[in-house]
Amino acid sequence: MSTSGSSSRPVLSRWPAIALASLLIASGLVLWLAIAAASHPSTAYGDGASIDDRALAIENELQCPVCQNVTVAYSGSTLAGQMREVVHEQLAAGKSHDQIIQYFVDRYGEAILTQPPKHGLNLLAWLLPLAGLALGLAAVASVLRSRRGISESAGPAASAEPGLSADDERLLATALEEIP
Amino acid sequence: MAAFGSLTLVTAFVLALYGFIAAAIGARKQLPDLVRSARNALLAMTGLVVLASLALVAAFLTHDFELSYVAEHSSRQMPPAYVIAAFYSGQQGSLVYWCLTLSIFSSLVVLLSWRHNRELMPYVVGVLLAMQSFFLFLLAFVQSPFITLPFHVDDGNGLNPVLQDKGMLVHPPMMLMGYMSWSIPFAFAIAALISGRLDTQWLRSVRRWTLAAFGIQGIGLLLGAWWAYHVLGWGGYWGWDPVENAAFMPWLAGTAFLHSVMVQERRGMLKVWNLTLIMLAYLLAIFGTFIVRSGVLNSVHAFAQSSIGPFFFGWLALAIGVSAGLLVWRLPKLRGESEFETLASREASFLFNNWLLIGCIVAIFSGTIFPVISEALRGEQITVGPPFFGAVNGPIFLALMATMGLGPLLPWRRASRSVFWRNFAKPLTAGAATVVILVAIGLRNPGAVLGWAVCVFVLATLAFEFYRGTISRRRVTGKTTLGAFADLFAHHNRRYGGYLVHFGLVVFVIAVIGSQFYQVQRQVTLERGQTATIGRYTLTFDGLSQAADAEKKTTFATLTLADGSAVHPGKSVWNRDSSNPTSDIVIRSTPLEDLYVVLGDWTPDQSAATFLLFVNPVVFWLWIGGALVIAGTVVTAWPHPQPRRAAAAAHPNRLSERPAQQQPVGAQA
Repeated sequence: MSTSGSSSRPVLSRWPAIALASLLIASGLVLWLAIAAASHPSTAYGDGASIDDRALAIENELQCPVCQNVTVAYSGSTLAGQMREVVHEQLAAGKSHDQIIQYFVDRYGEAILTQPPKHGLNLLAWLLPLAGLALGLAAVASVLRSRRGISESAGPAASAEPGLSADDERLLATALEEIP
Repeated sequence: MAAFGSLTLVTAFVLALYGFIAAAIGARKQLPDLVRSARNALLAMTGLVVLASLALVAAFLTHDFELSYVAEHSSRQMPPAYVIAAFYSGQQGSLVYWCLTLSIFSSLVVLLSWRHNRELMPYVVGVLLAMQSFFLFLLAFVQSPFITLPFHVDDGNGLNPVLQDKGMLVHPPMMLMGYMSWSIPFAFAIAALISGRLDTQWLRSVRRWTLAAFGIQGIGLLLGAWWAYHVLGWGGYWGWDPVENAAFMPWLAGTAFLHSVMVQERRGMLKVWNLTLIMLAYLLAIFGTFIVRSGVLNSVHAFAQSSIGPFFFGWLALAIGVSAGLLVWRLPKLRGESEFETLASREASFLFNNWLLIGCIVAIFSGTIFPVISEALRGEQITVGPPFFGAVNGPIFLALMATMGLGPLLPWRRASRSVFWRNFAKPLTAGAATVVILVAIGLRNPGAVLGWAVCVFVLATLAFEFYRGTISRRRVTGKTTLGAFADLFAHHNRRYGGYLVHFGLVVFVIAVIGSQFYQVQRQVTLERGQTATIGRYTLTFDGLSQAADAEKKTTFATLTLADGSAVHPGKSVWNRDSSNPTSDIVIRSTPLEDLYVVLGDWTPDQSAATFLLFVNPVVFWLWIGGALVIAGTVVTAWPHPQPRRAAAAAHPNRLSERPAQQQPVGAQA
């Protein structure tokens, strides 16, 4: 790094980038899994929960069919009230969480669920955001690579301060940093 | 009144159309007189739209039920405040309101920026008037609010009960104005592309208008969250409803622009991208309006459905076509002036920020329209609800927060290893320490622990920046620490206003994490005298009571808390619409947590009732954080004192003050 040669620059500059990228990706993955795990209903309500609380968990997974974007738990409509009664009756009769959900899916279709089940075409809903992110990342990477390729092939003449040594550049960077 | 109103709207439409044509020809053929005439047409049209709006408000206040719009949306019993609010509660009125705010903003643009952007203004005026022509055409010929009823009515229908709330007075006007305000940056972008004046000058003019849109839509979103929290009764403030999503997306695109525009100002890069972002924000705003108006999606806002969806769709298609065409046409003029050097630089961090924000938009957009796709492909509507959006966006938001901590402390062009560690050693330590402490006190949810750790990391970087700025300012000016700190906002408002926005967002996110991961909710059925427990609260049910007024009958429950105080959640059945009762929710708010009580159903003999109980941790700070974001936006948009720079230029030998005088193009929202 004794000269301003561009060949030595990437070695110096790439590692924080790699650190940053891996930090981002790792934290993203961890949180993704965490949320996926945390949002699963069965973890929220154990066997000890009361019928009221278990009913609430079920009602939160069901969309009120006659309302606009309100779950059965919170809808003031008559139909939602009847559905809440059905949930309570079936729980009292010993039916399980999944059985009751299935009971409503059989009658109202999958539109009754507050989130798309992860099978068939619905997988597309989950994949689209991922595909968008991947595409964006590829775009960002290609912008960075092609730009860097140009500046490297053009050599020091393309840099904004030709002729500055690496030490000088570091000094300059430090000085610029001090400016509030 | 009907004839007067219609005439004003038609005249305004003619003026707007004339002004559009005059501006187009005047700009093309370089005829200053014609351009001035277009400008005068814009101002006169604004006057007419104001008159039409006043006429409509007057019709409401005088209960002029001859007008079908007034009869549909108000009644004699309604309190006067809601009678005025009914003005924008329906299709036609909200279009009038949109037109009104667009006219006023357009006039402000003309009056404030005429001198600074002489070459650009003819085109800006032209684009703004084209937009006005579209809306005024709809109002004058398709959806007039001044249509009269063919028969006489004594009283009107009244306003939808859900809308009769304090939130109605503030949320819709802010939201509609927020949608509208993306028109101004869009007009500048189109003008810059047509005129070919694509230097950074136009960006400086547009930045403040974009900040205005960011702030106004931000306030609209916050007020919407507040209204939902206080009225809808599901214990939350954000439901990923299609209409909420539609309002959120332009705001995200605008946020991306406000960041990447700094790269263009500082380094002359990303020109095409910045134009794309501005256009995207406007297109998403029109898309949002289309979603609200068309009724293609299920939404809690579905009362606004109407038949003008196709018109908006056509306008959207036209705007997309024009934007894309102009971009492609001007592509050769939009080459960057410099190159990216490394990933560890301020400009690269902005690129990451943009990637994440656009990723957010993609995720929200695809989730929002997926039910439509599903129905088209296999004839079955499905629901894409909050859990989906939470799971998809959570990680993106976390990465955004991390970038918010990293970006401002990375220098432009490239960060050396020593600078990197000097800036980040302490914040990273603070973040790691947070993980240890949170786990030690027994928190196990990885999402919450990681999220809060990142928040603390960002707070530490902000503290570091403020500390460094204050010390440096104190050294230069010799002021006290407090004076130097205040100086940061006064003299470097762009940068430190931006940091204030970041600080507000961190507070906001801390509250979001707390309330999302640690909300407790229970559903309880209580006989009179029975007690329920939630968190550290015990509530005893003491019975029901009734109250009635001209519009509704309300049933209140009395619940006594352990400290002897009582709360009275209620449920109102409206005469106008008895099948959709509204809730009177009780919220006991403290900085630590909110107790949230909703009355559900009760037995006919009133001996037992069902309640929904929530304990929502730290929601209090959500509103504080939101207010800080808005305050920071105002600070960062505040006009910079110009004379100071002139003074510095006049005394070039005062070198010692140069660093402090230099206006930094720092990180900001």
